[in-house]
Amino acid sequence: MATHSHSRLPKLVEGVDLRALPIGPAEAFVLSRVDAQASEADIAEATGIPLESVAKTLEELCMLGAVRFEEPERESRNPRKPSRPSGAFRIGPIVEASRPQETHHPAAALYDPSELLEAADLDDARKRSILETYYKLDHTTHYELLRVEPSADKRAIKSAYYEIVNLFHPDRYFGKNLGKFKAKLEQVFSRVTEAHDVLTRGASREEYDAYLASRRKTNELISVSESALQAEADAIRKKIEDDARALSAPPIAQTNSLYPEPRIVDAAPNSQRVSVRPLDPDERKRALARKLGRSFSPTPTPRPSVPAISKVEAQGHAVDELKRRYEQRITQGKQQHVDRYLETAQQALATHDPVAASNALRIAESLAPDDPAQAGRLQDLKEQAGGLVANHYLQLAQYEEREGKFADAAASYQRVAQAKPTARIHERAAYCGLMAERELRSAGEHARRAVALAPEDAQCRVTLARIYVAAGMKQSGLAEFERAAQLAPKDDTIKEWIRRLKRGEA
Amino acid sequence: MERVIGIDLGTTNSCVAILEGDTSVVIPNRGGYKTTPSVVAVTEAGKRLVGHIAKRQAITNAENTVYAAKRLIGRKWNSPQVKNAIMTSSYTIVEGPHADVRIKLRDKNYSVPEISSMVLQEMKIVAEDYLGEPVKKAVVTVPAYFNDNQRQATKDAGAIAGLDVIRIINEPTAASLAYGYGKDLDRTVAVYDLGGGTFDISILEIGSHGVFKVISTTGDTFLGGEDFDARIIDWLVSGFQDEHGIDLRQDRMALQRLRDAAEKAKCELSSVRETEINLPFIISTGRNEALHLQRTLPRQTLEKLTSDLVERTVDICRQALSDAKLGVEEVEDVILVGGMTRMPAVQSAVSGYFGREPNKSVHPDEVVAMGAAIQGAALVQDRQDMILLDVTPHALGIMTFGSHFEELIPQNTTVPTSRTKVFTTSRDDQTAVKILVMQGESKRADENELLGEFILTGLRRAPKGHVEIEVTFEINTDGIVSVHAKDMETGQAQSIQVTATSGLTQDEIKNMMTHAQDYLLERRTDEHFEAAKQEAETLIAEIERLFPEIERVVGSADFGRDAIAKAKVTVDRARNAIASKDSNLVKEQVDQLARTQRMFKGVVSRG
Repeated sequence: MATHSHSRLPKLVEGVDLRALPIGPAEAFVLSRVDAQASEADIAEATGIPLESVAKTLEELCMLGAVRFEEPERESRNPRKPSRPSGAFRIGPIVEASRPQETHHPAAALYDPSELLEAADLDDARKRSILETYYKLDHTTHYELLRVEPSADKRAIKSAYYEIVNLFHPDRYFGKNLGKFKAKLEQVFSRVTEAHDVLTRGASREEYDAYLASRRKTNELISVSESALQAEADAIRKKIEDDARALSAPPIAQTNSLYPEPRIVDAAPNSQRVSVRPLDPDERKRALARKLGRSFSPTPTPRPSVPAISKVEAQGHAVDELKRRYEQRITQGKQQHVDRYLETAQQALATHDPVAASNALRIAESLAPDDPAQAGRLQDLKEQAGGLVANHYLQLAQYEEREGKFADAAASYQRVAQAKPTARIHERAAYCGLMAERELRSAGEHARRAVALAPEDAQCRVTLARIYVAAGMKQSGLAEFERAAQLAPKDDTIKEWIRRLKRGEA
Repeated sequence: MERVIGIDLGTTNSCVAILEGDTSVVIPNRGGYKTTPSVVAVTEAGKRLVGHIAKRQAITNAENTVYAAKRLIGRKWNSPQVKNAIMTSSYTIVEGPHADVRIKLRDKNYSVPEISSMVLQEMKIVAEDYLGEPVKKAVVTVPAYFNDNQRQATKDAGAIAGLDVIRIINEPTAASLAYGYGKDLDRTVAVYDLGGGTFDISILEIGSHGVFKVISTTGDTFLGGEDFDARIIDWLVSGFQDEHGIDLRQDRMALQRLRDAAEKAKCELSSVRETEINLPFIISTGRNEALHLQRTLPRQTLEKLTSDLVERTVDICRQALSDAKLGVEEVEDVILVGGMTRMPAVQSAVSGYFGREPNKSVHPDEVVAMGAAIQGAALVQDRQDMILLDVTPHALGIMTFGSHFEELIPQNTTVPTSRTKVFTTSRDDQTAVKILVMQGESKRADENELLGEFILTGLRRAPKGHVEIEVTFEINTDGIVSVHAKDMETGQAQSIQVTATSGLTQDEIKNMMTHAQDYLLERRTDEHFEAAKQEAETLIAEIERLFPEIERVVGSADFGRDAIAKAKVTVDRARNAIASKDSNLVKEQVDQLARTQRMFKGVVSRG
């Protein structure tokens, strides 16, 4: 596990049943000091437990989902995103290309620099390029690996392959001591050859391109940023406002052809006419009262009928009317746009395009339709789109799991879990994370959710237990296995695990 | 930089080459021939003979002369190929201690790698004589379709001969190296290699940056020139049977003569339309009556006798192209390798199938050794201008429940490579699995070659199908197969390096190496002795020729008589030294003799 600076601030995760945690007194002691105020170092000082132990215990509690750290998430190493631009253009041999990338690419973090010290008859640049390529193998597409564009023809692919082979074939270094680099070179070579073989055979390239397209689609889903969508929604809102302003300004005649004249708008011309009338009934009464020499108390009349309006009053009324008209138009414009986006989404759903559908829906949603019918339809389409996206990811996840690309599969299952948070999906996400032997923390998270959703499912508990064991938390693992054993008392696999853990074998 | 020789260890002939500068040079043997027959014999006196000399005495020593040992290398005693060889060979094949094959020569049993090592040793000597320095490293070629056991046996043969075989490469691939090396080509080629005992076809891409990539390779390890010869022998034998009612096969010497005659006739028919086969006194009847064999063989008859063999090679070519997923029109050049490709019927079948005239720029007998030398130099040189990407000629996998063969690494996979597959247990509460590593194309495990086996134990008890075992196969650049099996849940793991078996144990190989070195020493001593003996005998003859004249010139003087007496002693000593067969003693006497001879000459010229 990576080393952490010990300035982190642990906080309790809300809603966790602390009593149900598979922990011992030592962990509980540390846990009792977690108050969202004390840092790791503070806790160590307060408890007298060495800082390393505190950190370790907190890590474990974090794995168990009881504690989280208050610190910005480290830049997630989503394998697909950073490598995308780098492979888009051919930038010459890998040795040269890999250097400038170091500065902005997290390539340096791909391997432990001490691996460069590994004894081998290779210069540092060569070692670096081998390590960089080796540790990127799981995350690059065949095109990126060969450094060709996806549109490259067979000839270009072959030529690129020959060039790379010259760098990475172990025979290049025959008789030299390659140490651990030999196996790495062989693996790089084997992967490069696979890429070449897939891309130079028509049928297999088509199949692979289809997979890539599907992956790209899902990547688009990930990469369409909230802010871009927000910006688009804002632009639409502004347009609606501009349109409404333009429309609500006189002259009316012009607008008639565009919008049917709403009835209320008639009030304005009426008020104009009122002002030209000599006197209204109240005025006449007053005049009569003056003549009669007694006071006049006007009869309370409902507002519309009241106006004995001055010129200023008449103008104020007109502004109100304009404002109402304007708002009316905005509502209408919004409804129209929402309708349009809902329509787009529906069409996208019909053609099984989850990206277009979900983008359209997100914009529609950000326009906040208040029409209940529209809101209902939006909700309905959102569910459909969610299902489509989830299906898409599920297919990807299954393909990746089958191909043994567990890290990718784990990521895809996690996406599925967002739309279909079932125990089964969470369990798969956790299992693939476990098999990928990385991101154990998020694997643990999914396994816990799976257990929460299906507390009676032994399989979910076994996966969680195995994740605990993989994270070095044998006691927690054992506790979870024992719970699983209660659920499935006949399962020898679980018994065997328990036996091994008790004997300290695993 | 240490020199690496390339050896084409052929069924009938072998050839050795070395890279000199940028060109690959074939090294001629002492007789001036560029190829050496792959024939080994042991004489009545227990002397070992290799090459032309062994071939020449084959008729009189048929039972102790081994040819085409390559057909037996790496084979199991009970294989059909061995059964077939027992029927047709004039030498005696017996079962070895590890179900392998041994050849009996003069009451001693030799393993097949040992026989092959004698040929390799001969090629090594040829190269050392040419280079004037010891040679340690070699690249040796094998038919592409050889399995791992056959390759390992060839490697062992190299070790016995005192050679570090740094790489075994495929014959057609080697040929393509010699064809395309240093020419910066960019094309797809087919190599059609019909040799003495095996047929291979490889489809390759020769690309920029000196990359030679094999796309597919296939073949038949029991289809070659020998089979063509066998058809002629059959034809001769059955004709003789019809005429005289005698089966010539019963007589080993007759069979050997038939074999020689058939090969000669076959070669002649490549350039002439008909040939005479004339074998007088081939056999005698019970009444001591000698019978002669005399027949005319027209080319047409030979072609009819062997048309199915040629057709078979074309079928195999079709298979290779379909494996490579290429159309015949995508092949841009066809290279012919092996002596059999000189046969007009073979050439026309090839050009008929590929729709183009085959390339004639390479020498069919020498090109393979030349390619091996190129690969050898490319490996050890720092300046590397060539990379060879070869494939596994056979699928690799394991035996699964019901004796099925489950393939992990398919045929024609570029090496180095690794593949993983997950298997489950087949019985309830199974606690161990036996992983049988096999090679071959059959779906049935027992029809494939067993490479090795190991047992993964400590599986937990669970219903069948519940325990998942991940099996990983890995082939590295040196062609070594490693197999790794892991219980996916418990992480219990077991792995082996599959060392294919040549049928020899390490101890046996070590023993044979010592024998080979002893032989070499003996042979070198023999050679030195022969040279010294020759020199001494020449000098003795010269001195004895001068005796009467010396007698006449200085015989009357005391010092003269003394000198003559001394010279006589020297000659006697030299004769004794020769008789003692001690080359050092002879060498010492040679110096004495030379001094005497010089003195005699001086006296004679003054007188």
